[in-house]
Amino acid sequence: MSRRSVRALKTDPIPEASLEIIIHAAAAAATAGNRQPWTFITICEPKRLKALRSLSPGMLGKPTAVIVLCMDETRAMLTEEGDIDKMGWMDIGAAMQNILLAAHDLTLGACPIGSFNEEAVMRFLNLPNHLKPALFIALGVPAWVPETPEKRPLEKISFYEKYGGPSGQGIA
Amino acid sequence: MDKESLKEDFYYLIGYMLTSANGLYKEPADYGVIRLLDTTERLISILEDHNIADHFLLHLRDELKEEKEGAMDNERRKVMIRRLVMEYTEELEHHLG
Repeated sequence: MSRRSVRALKTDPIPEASLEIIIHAAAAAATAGNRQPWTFITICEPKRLKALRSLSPGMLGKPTAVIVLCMDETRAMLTEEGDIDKMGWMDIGAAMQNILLAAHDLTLGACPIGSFNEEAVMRFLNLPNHLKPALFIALGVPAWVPETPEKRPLEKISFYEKYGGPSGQGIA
Repeated sequence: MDKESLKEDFYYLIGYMLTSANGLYKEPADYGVIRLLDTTERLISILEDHNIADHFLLHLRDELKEEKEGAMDNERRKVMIRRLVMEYTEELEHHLG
């Protein structure tokens, strides 16, 4: 519960071993039907990071590494209309959360980024057409960690047995 | 001044502004505010890297940087922007003499 989205990052590089652990954690995420509809591209070369930042308006900080989570359209479940099924997006979300938690465990700062130019990023990363960038995770050594913003109270979002039932407080 | 380095910094800033404009067609309206503030901060940082920024600009940059690195809070941001606009206006009066 102490994990926060960290955008204030130092310039210290991330050890390669830490990046390997984080990628392993991502690849171990829950995935519907074991589809594993993902590919992870890690960028840590400073010049390429600077260039990637220019294609990614959501990259507010200056990370020392970025992991691009790509949706593999050849592996994802598809709807009858041929779109990516919701489970595919959930798989990407599960991989994202594993990355965030692994980074936090390694005392690294991390922040998901959804604002980037998909077409430009595909070209920049030389991605084949079936791999679509879905999400970035910016990583680095935290300069400081923001306070936890106000969270919705559990009694408004969590119920036992049925909607409107006890939120769990007082239940052993 | 290293013109090539300055050109490269502006090159990336221009790319950022273009991709921001492109992305804003499908992003929440509030993101437009964030992109403009981020552009301001990035621009001042470039000026600083090339020893052009003055004390007031660096103060602005630090405030913007702290805001964007904290937890997202639209109301707090709105108050900060209004305050910075007034600080800028006061600074403008000093500039004009």
